[in-house]
Amino acid sequence: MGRDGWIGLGLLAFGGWLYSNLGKIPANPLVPIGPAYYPRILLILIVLLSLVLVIQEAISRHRRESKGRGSLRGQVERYQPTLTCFIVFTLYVVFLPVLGFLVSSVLFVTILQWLLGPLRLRRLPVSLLTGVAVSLISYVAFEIYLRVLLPRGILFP
Amino acid sequence: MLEIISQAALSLLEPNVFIGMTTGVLAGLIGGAIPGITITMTVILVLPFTFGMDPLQAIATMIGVYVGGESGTLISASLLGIPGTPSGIATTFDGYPMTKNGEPGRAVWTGIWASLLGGLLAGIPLVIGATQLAKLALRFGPWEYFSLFILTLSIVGALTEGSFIKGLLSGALGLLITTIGADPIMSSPRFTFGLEILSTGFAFLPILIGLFAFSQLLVDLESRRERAQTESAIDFNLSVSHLKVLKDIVSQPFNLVWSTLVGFWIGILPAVGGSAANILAYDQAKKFSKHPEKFGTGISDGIIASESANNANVGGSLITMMAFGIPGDAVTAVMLGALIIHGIQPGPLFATTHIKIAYGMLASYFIAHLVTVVILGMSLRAFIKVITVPLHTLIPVVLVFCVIGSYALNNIMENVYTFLLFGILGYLMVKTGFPLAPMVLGVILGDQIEINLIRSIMTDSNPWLFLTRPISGTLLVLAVLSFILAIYQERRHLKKRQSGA
Repeated sequence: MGRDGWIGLGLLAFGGWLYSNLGKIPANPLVPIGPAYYPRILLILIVLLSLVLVIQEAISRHRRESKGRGSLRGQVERYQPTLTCFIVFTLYVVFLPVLGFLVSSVLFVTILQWLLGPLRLRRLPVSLLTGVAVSLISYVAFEIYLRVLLPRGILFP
Repeated sequence: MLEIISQAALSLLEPNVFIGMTTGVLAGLIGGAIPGITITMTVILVLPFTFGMDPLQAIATMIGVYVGGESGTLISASLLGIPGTPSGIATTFDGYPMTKNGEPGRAVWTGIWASLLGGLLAGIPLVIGATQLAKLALRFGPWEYFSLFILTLSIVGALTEGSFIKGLLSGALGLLITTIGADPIMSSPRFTFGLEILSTGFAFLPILIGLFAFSQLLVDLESRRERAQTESAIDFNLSVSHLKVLKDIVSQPFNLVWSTLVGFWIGILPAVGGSAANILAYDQAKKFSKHPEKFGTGISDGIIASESANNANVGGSLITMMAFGIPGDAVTAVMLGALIIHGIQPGPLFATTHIKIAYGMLASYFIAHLVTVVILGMSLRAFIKVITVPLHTLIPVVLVFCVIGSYALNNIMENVYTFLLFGILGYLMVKTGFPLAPMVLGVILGDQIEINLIRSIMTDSNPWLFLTRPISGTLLVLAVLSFILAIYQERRHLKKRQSGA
C-alpha cells in the first residue's frame, strides 16, 4: 500500500477513536439535538472519505513509477535547512516564556539567520546586529507605540 | 451610494488612516516583490500592527497590503523572471522576455498601469455587487446559509489542485477542528480530554498563520535558489514614455476588460485567488488574440492580461467577504479574522450596521491602487534593491512577526503553540498532497455551519426544507454539480495519466 493508503488508514483510526468518544460529550436538556450531533456527522464523513482514500489506493491499477529519491547526501542537503529551521524555531517557542521576547528573539534571529546562510564566522556579527535590530524595533513598536504586550519571561517579570 | 463612498474616501484621508494604508501598500509592494514572501505572509506580518488600530485604519492598512502586493509581484516577475508571488507567474511569460529584449521600463510600467486600470475597473462590480449581494443575503435563513457554506466548501474541495478526496478530507478536518472546545450553542465541552489547552478550542488566526506562513517557509527552504541574476537587476534602465504605455494598454480594450472580468470572477470563487486568475486570464488573452504565436516573446498583451486580472481578483475576493462573510482567498481570510478581532462580523448586515467601515473598505480599495502607482513612480529603483535580499535573512524575521501575531491575539502562549502545531501539520499536508485552502475554509466556516444547521433543525425538524426552499435547494444542487464535475475531472485526469504512462 502506498503513502495515501496509510494516511487513509490513520485517519480512519483517528475518526473511529473520536467517534467512540462522542458518548462522553455531556448532553444539554435545552438543546434536544445535543452537542454531539454535528461532530457525529463530520466523523461519519471523515471515516467514509478515509475509506474511499484507502480503497482508491488499493484498487488503483495505475502504479506510479517510484521517483528516484537521489543520494542520501542529496536528501540531507535538501532537508537540512528545513530541519534546522524547525528545531531552532521550536527551541525559540520553548524558551520564549522563560527568557522573554527580547532575549529569545535576539538569540533566535541571530542563530537561525547565521545557520541558514553560508556558514562563515564573519557573518555572525551581521546576524547578531540584525537580531538585535529586529527585536528592539519590534519591542518598541509593539510594547511602547501600539501597546501590544509581548512575552515577559523570568528576566522581565 | 457614491456620496457615502466619497465621505468614506474623505475619512481615509485622515492622517492616521492614510499613513496606515500607505504603509500597508509599501509593505505589500515589498512583500509582493520578494520571491518567497507571499501576499498572505505579508498580511500576516502586518496583522499584529493592526491590533492597536481602530477598525477602519486596520482594514485600510490590510487592503493596502493586498493591493500593493498584487502589484509588487510584477517587479521581480518582469525584471528577474521570478514571480514575487504566484499571482505574477503569467507576468513572467512576456514581462521577462520584454526585459531581455532591452525594454525593462516598458515591461514594468505596462504591468503597473494595467494593474491600476484592471483594479479600478473591477471596483465598479465590487461597489454594485457588494450591496446587491448583501440585499440578497438578507433573504437568507439558516437553511440557505447552511447550503451556501456547503456549496463554498464543495467548490473549494473541487477547485483546489490535487486529489478531490484529499480536498474534501482537508475541508472536513478543518470543520472538525472547530468542534474542539466549547460548542457554539450551549458551550458544552467537546473533545477536550481534560486538557486545559483544548478547553477553549483553537483560535482561528494562529491556525491560519501556521498553515499558510510557517509551512510555506519550510517548503521554500527546500527549494530556495540563490538568485544570481539579481546583481545585474540593479543596473536596469527603467525610463519609459508613460503616454506610449498607456496608449498601448487602452488600444486593447477587450483584453483589458475581459481579463479584469476573469480576475474578478476568480476572486469571487472561494479560496482560488490571484494565482489562478493571472494564468487563466493570460490563457484567455492568448486564445482570443489575433497573433497568439507572439505570446511569450515579450508582447504587452500578456502582461496586460495577467496584471489586470490579478488586481481585479482583489475586488472579487472582497465582495464575498463583505456580503456573506466568506473569504475569497487566504488574504481575505486573514482580513476576516482581523475584523472579527475588532468585533465586526462581515455578512449581509455588515454594510448597514458598519457603514463607515464597509464603505471605507470600498474607498480604500480605490485609493490604495492610486497610492501604489505613486509609490512605484517615486521609488521603483529602491524596490529593485529590496528584491535582492536573500531569503535566509528574511525567514527568521518573518517567523518573529508570526509569533507576535499569534501571541498578541490574546496575550497567551497557547496561541503560539497552536501556530507551531498547525505549521507542522501544514508542512506535512503540503508534502503529502493535501490542499491547505479547504482546511482553512473549514476552520473559518465550521461554527457558522453548525449554528445554522442546529438553528434550522430546531426551527423545523423537517430535513427536506434544505431541498424544498428555493434558494437553499438551488445552492445544494450546485454543490452536488460541483462534486460531479470534480469527480469527472479527476477521472479524466487519471485516464490521461494512464494513457500517457
